[in-house]
Amino acid sequence: MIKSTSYEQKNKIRVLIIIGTLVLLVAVFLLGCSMGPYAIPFADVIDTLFGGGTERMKLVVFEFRLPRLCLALLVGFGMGAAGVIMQNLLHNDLASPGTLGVADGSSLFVTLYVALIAKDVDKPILLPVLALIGGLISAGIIYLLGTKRKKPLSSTKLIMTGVAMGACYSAIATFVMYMLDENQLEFIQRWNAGELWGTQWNYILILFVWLAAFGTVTMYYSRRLNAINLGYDIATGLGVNVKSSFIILSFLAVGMSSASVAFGGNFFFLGLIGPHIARKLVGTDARFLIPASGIASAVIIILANILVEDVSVFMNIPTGIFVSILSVPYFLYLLIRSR
Amino acid sequence: MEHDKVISQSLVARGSAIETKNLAVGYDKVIIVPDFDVKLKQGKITSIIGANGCGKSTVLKAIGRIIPRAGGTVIVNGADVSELKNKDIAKQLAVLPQTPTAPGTLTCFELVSYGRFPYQKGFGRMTKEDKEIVEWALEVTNMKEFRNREIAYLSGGQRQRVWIAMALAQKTGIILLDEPTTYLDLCHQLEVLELLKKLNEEQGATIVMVLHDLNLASRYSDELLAMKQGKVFSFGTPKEVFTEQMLKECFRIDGSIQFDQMSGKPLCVSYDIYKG
Repeated sequence: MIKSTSYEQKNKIRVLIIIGTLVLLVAVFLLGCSMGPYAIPFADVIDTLFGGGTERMKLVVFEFRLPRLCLALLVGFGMGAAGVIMQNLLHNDLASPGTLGVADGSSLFVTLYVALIAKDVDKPILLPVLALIGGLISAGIIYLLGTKRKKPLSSTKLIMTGVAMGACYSAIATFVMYMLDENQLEFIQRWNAGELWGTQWNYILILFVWLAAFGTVTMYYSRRLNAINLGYDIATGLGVNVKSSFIILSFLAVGMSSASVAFGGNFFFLGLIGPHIARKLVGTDARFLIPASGIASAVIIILANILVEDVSVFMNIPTGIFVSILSVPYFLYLLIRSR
Repeated sequence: MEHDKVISQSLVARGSAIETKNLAVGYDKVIIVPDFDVKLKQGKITSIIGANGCGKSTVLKAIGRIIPRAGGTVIVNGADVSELKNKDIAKQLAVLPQTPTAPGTLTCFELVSYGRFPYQKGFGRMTKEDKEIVEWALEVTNMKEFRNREIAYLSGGQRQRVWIAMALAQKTGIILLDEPTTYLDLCHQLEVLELLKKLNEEQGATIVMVLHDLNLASRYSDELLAMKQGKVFSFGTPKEVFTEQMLKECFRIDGSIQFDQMSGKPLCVSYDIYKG
């Protein structure tokens, strides 16, 4: 598409594309505020957001829709960014927290927590922490099993280990699920299907601060990620400490994806598709790809959320299912076209 | 004192670019190179030759710290690399692995700009100097006209040249290359080697490479390092190293050596499997 443009021009175009996707994001966000069981005209939405509107509009927008949309937005950002990190680290477009066992590790920990500790799932405040610990432990085990101390990294070996361990984690989780009562089981099922549950403002604030911190560090490491994307050998030659960068970047990816899914539910598929769409838009440079992927994932999840909210037949169906339904056809289209 | 230090440093600088002492390298528990001592002079083109599995790539990778050492030391420009930061090594020594791959959507300029990594800090915007150096590297490697072309649309020879340009953008005195002519046709092989020779002559670059083609190695190198079973078999000028004896011992080849009329360098013209 952009063929004979100079480096500066190309980067300018990329910035413009990112601004374009941001505008789209704002648009679907406002659409999300407007659509639902109690539809509010677009103009009134904007009016309400800036302090006007009727009491009822205020209630619907601020109490129901805004928290959900903000949560969806943050989850999208977290998953999209985490996916880019993992795909670039492992030189594999199929790498994501979902395909590499990290998601299953988070899921297992949440299941264990619900089964063993929190008989009452009404206030699962510990959940994000647990999903994070679960994600980190599972990623740590995969790293320990998939690498050797005195040898260079092998992405194939790490991916294989991740897939195998993922199967192992999910088998244990399924086993544990047989010990749950009906309420617990329903919660876990909804969580696994991707339901935006953590819609209280304090949860959203925690997630925001968390992602902002991790995101900033990630952007700081994005040049290293670019070098690693050329191959571990090349990156070493360029002066990157591949192993330590790998560990730090994996930690960032696991941290962002686990926190997102802990509050939002299982949206791991976004970590696969978001980066893919973004790569078509802005190319492989992580400095542009990470924000673009975050925005693209946020747009998808908000669109899915609108479907859930607006079409009454779909009420009570977790948003995650619609993320897959919306994005799989597009994902396949991209794959077919890229041949 | 200060003065002495300066002199000693400049002496070192004129001496060995790379020195290994008791270098040992291996994979898993198999030691491929047990004890490797060599001094590679500054400003020379040195080619490492030897049969498959003799450890020539292994040595090159260990010097370039792409694979960890099992023992011994590597000294680059007088400093022990284990005492240097990885970024500081990258300012003195560039490494090009065999057949590297890059995302096809990168442009030549972008790829070469990654060579500036060791000099960038923090979020790393390209400075004016960085951009000038990238342009220079593209110019030297004759890739300027392709600066905005995506890697996917380059020929094999152009691709190898753009990788060399990336190594050049590191502004190191030393460049290590692992079989830089692999998968290239004869003309492109010569093009790449001519480029390396030009870099050596005009920029004073020290070039150390692994080459399979012995005649090309002889023609383009100041020094040859022949390896056999993980050890130095012989090391010196092509005339000293490229002998019928070496062909027998290192390659199990019965060959006859003649001298090229143009360059005066030894060439192996006819050869057969050695049945001795």
